[in-house]
Amino acid sequence: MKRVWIAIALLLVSGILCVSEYTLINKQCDEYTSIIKKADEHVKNDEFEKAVKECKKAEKQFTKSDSIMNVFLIHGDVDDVTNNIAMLKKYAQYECKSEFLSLSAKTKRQLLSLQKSELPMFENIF
Amino acid sequence: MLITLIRTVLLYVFIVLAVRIMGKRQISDMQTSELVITLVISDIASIPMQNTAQPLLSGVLPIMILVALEIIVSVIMMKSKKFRKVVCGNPIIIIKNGKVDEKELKRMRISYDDLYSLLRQQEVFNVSDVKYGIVETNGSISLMKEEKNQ
Repeated sequence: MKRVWIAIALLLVSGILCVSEYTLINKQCDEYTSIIKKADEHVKNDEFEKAVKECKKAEKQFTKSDSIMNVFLIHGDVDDVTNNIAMLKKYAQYECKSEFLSLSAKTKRQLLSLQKSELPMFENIF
Repeated sequence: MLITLIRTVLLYVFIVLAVRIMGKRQISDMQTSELVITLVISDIASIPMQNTAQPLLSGVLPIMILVALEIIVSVIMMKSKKFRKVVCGNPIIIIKNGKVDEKELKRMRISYDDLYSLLRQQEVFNVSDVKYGIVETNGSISLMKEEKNQ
């Protein structure tokens, strides 16, 4: 009977890990996407200083949470997003509008893919 | 390299614990499903051990689930004969009153050489000395010898 309880505990821990991973990744990706969207708007309106501020905010938040994200996700994927956010900041500082917009579109797609890859959908399971 | 070292130690401890929780059994006594799970666990653990870009949890989580399922399945097997039959199959008689049941032998894809080898391991050198030969669900063979030879 003791072993059955251990099995139930293992399943519970696994379930909790899955739910917390899904919630955390979802929340973080939503946050970064909304910050990048704001920065996008600023760049489109040629407000580069405001865009730099948004990028710094995203970079700061991402540095804080990437250690937790690394526990759940392939480290390379998280590093790619970290590097892209750093590049976005540089593009905004040097006022490179087209480069900024293309990289921000790529980063948003990466964040969406991180989110979607954790969903229990047919294409992710098979 | 240091990461690999730390991960290997952690996974070693985890696998030892997992195998202890599943219960002690010799490889020869394992059911097919148990053997498969043991092999799968070792395979899963090796991936995050070698690839440090992979989160450790991606190896630990499936092992936890496999161990839990193995325990649950073994408990259900203990309680339900039908379920046990589905998972492990039935023991099959391949020798009856000294005669080999060729049909069953073919069905189980056991050659005569394999059968004679199994018999010799049980110190039987003539099929006619066997009253009943049964292939157990774990692949081993149990023999009931003719009374005169016992």
